[in-house]
Amino acid sequence: MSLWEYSNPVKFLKLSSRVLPWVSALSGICLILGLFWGFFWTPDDYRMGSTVKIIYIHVPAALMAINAWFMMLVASLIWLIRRHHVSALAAKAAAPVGLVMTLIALITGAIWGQPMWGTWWAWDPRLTSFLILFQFYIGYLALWKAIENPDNAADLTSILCIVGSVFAVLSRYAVNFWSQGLHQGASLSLDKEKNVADVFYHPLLLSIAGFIFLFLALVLIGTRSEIRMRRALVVAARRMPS
Amino acid sequence: MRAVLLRDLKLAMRLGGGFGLAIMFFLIVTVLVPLGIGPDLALLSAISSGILWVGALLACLLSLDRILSLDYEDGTLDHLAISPLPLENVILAKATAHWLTTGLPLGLASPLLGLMLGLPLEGFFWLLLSLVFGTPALSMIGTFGATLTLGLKRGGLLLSILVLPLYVPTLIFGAEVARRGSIGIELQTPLWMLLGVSFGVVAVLPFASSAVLRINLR
Amino acid sequence: MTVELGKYTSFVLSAYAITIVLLALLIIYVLWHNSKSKVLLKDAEFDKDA
Repeated sequence: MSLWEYSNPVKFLKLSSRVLPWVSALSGICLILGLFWGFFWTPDDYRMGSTVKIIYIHVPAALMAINAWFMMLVASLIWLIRRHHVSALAAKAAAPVGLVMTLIALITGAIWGQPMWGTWWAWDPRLTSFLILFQFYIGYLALWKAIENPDNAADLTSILCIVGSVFAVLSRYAVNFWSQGLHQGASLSLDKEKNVADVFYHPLLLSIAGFIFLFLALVLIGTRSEIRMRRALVVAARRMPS
Repeated sequence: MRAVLLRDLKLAMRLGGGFGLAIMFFLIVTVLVPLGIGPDLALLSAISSGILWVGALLACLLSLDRILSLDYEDGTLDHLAISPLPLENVILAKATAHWLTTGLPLGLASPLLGLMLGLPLEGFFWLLLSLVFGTPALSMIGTFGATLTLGLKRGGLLLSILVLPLYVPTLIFGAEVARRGSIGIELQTPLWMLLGVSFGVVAVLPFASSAVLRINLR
Repeated sequence: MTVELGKYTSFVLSAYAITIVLLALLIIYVLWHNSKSKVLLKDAEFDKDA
């Protein structure tokens, strides 16, 4: 038995219907526990006050925004190399989730930035690269939407995803470089990993797990819908000639 | 390959071709910016290199859907696809024609417009250099975007959405070269990065574009 | 179960509120898309039999 067996849509549907309740339940439990723990039972940070509580949504969302794109990249490669339809459809299903995660990261970041840095927006490398990531998601989704032939759409979006990934990395580097060029020495971005004490760390981990499971659940549901849509198209096309 | 290139150049030079469009747009942007932010020459000269780069990028963007759509509609592209010329070369010829009719003239015209924006004298050479070396990347990335949106109904907007994030590294490095050149500080790093991006794009994207084109023509 | 957020109350609350709204919208969209796909497939297969 190998992983590739689940590239068969029927098998994928069977497996995912068995896994889905568990993933959804886990995501609900982790999210509720993590967010409640973080919101109600953690102390304020001595420097950031109560705004530190935003970390429990901001960091997981940012993490998933990047990981969703990475998953789309892997799925696109699998589609281009092995032509498994499930893979292409999973990439398509992940895009809206990644888009919303990017949006959440941007918005909560802005809300956090206002009291801490005194500004809603700064052209800081991290912020800017997320804005660029947001554009990539929009372009990717728009391209899926625009092309009628589903196989062509899968091919073209996959190529866009791969080329886009290269440029996203390049942009990250460029933006880093450019921002240092603009404000030398001024560090607006907080070094989160170093500052986070254990009190904040554990609920954060739980919340991250919740976001990961939420992402998985949503992508599974989305992929299942896309498979059904494709199936409906095929059935309709087969009926047409008669 | 030379025939394709020459044909595209001829078509662009014709009245209503892409040639005048980009230059006119570049001129308009440069005139509009001072009207918008006021005649303060000190402020203008500080941001002039950035304005000119953004203007050149937008002018480039404006003419992108002309690269392939006309040839797609009248079937020329199908002919080129079945001709013995490799599709990669067709793409490269198309991108080169686009660069020769937009990027290069924009670069050559930029010092003149820099004059109007109060660009410091020492910045002229670097602005010209960064545009001449940066715009090939813009044309090539644009051609890639044009192949992706080929034959789509409302392709124009989609093309801009797809291409803009891809333009980010070129814009950042190119504008940085011009900015540093205008205030006379060390600019080796961004210059090499700009060259790297430009050559990398021209070397790799023809393959991605022709793969896309094959999918779109099948 | 109340928590004292001090002078940043509005910021923290709005961050959580916006996140919850966006996630809810996303989940609703995914579920709506899911049920739509079920209906579509059912219709297509029903027509085939007819």
